[in-house]
Amino acid sequence: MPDIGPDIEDLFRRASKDYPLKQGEDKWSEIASKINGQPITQPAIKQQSGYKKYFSILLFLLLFLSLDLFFSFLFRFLIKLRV
Amino acid sequence: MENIIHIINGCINKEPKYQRLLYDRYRGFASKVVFRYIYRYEKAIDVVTDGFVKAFNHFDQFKKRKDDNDEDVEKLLMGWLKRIMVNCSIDELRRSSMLPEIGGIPEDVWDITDRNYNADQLLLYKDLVTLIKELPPNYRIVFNLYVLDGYAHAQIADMLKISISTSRSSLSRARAFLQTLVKKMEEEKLCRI
Repeated sequence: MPDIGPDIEDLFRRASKDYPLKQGEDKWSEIASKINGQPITQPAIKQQSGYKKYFSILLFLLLFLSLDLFFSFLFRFLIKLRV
Repeated sequence: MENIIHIINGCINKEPKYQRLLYDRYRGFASKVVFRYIYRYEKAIDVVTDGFVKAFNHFDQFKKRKDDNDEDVEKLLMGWLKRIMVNCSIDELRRSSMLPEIGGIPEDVWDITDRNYNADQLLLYKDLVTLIKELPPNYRIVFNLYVLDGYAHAQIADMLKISISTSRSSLSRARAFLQTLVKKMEEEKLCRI
């Protein structure tokens, strides 16, 4: 193993240039679509999913409110019947 | 093999053939720059992609002198690309609020088959880069910028919106941290022998 004591920073500099990293996935098609001015569809998907999320929350709230109203009427009706 | 000046001129004229050539030739170099700053490999590759998009969109800003030879032009180009990749990495770290990362680096990101170097040297370089990545994000950025990429403290302070003294103290802490990690690494290797 080479000596890493005396000039540690120089060794780090050499390592930073020549370390064995894989090149990774070729993303040329993504780059080409971006530099040709074609918008990437990701934001649109995000917007759609955000809209869906809020819509489902709203539906859930409406369902909760309607169930609440239904049961309160039902209880009142049952109490009246007993009386 | 295409001449670098032809490739650059092609990129300035936004010709896809030359843009592709430049990407193929320098994406390994760019990945090595970005991966020192960004802990996750997949995220680093995304940052490299963003960096190339930025470079191709602003290629007219790349300045070369007419009398420069191929080697000088290539050095200038690599310096320019490196600056773009560093800036994109810092933007990404800011977006993630420089939170410390958890989990190790998977072994499949390394390629120990380069015939220009012997395997021991490549393993040592891999270990050293792993040590850099073990630094807390703010120390790692300052160490990378100052020691490995040659920025001055005033530039670092400006880029990271911190004071010069914070930059200096982060560097000295990063150095101390690395000294300890290197010592530990040496001891572990000696134990294995």
